[in-house]
Amino acid sequence: VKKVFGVALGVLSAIGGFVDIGDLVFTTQAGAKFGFQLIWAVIIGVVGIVVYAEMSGRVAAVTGRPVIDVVRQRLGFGAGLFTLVGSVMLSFLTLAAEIGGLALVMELFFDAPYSTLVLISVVLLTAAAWVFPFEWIERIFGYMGLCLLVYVVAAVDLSPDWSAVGSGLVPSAPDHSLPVYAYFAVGLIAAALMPYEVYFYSSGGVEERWTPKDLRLNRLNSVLGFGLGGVMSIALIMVAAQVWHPLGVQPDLIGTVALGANVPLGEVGLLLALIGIAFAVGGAAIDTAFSAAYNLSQFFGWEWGKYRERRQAPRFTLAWLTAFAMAYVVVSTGVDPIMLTEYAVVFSVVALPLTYFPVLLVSRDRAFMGKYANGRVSSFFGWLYLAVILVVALAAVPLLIATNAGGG
Amino acid sequence: MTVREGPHEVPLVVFRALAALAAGLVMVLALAACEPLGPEELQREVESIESVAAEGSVLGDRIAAQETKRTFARVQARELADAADHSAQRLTDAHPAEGLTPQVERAIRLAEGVSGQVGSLEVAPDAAASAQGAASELRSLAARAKELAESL
Repeated sequence: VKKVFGVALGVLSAIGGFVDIGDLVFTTQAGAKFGFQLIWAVIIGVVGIVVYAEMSGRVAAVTGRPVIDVVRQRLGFGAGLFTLVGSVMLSFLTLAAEIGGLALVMELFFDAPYSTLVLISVVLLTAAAWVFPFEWIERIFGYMGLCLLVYVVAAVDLSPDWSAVGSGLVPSAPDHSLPVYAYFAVGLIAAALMPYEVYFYSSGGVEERWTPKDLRLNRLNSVLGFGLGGVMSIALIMVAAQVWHPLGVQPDLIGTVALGANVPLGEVGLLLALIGIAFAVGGAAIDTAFSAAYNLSQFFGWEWGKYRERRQAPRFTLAWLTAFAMAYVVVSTGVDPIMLTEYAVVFSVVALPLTYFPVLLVSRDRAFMGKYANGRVSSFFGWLYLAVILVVALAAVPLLIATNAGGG
Repeated sequence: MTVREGPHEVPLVVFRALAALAAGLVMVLALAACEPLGPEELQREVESIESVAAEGSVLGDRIAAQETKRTFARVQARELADAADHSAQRLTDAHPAEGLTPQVERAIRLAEGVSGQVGSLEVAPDAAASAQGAASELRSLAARAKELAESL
């Protein structure tokens, strides 16, 4: 049981990256537009985030320093501040979207006015973050979010053409519009590598007081947690490829994602999907609120951590409370939460190199990490993925504009 | 020479440049709004109508089979009906390019038909028999929308 609970951090961090409100719709759109053809992009993203989450967790366990601390140390104050501003803005925008997303899911349960549900969502999330200790937050949201594994059952139950699924493991020429295909590929890779995942993950490692003795747990968390996130993403693509692709449906609504599980598995499938989506989106909201507060506190040297008494880390507490309050104001303007996260994913890629490059530098530095520094395999994958990240960062915004955000 | 604006003085050349820029932006926006609806844009709109109709038929099937949640069906049907209404409104407001008027009118009728059928699911999200009829009608509307989109 202890081992099962031990991977909750990885699961919750992955949920923030793979199945938040925007990703659920974006991934379903990818399957609806291109069938199984984009599964490879999810796999590229999963391997990348496993590599970098493992590195950032290892740095946190060995040195007690989370990612933004490392960024500031290696890049200096100016570039560090730039990364901080970008990452906090991104976390904040995503938080606003997740709050709106949770309200949308609750609307599907209760059919109450959206504005009321937005208020209820923010109150519930703030209360959960206030009342529960860190371990319970990650367990409740992480494991309840695993209800989304219903999509794995649905994907298999629909009897997919496994040879077509296999073909999706490697890039292939799309049926139509190469730029749109490239836009979705870049978006899926970027979603897996969202920077706030490693900020949250490495800070979580410090919250759980990891030491070098926990390096196996770190590896298990990064592989199993983010691996599960990837499995859920692939399942979403497979369900959309089988339910929506043949009908020419363009999924724009979170209800369409839930209906995908309803078709093969009936009411039980629908309920599990809605519960999974609610907890995944709620978990992503807490991920992002804490990420913003962690980064601000760590950058400016304030006391931080959920494991501390609130009066021992007052500015950290104030930071995440403020993030929730400001996000509520933003989402109350009526902005579309799904579009907000989709744009956030694409724009986040510009901040990716500034987040991941310093992690790579520190994790391979023997003077800093001693015998726990990267081996050849870690370094190889680290550099390889840095190259992938740079390509993605350069391509994202032009593709967003050229394809009218995937609309063609 | 300067232009007085509140407590600050703005150089006239800057003022003129800003005014010209603002006027240019207004003109670009106005021209974009008046640009006629071409076949590609119409095709995208018709594909959206096809998408709503197809999804509505799937939802109707779930209601007919009594295999969905009532509240979910009602909210989702409402969202889909709204999407079809917006398509109809956008097409009604658009200025079709030469020769496209009959296709635009056909698309508007399709969008209105989809909105009506999906709207019936919203009104009675647990009426199995009428949902079956609506699902069947929505499948037919989706097929007609597809045919229209492919002809463009």
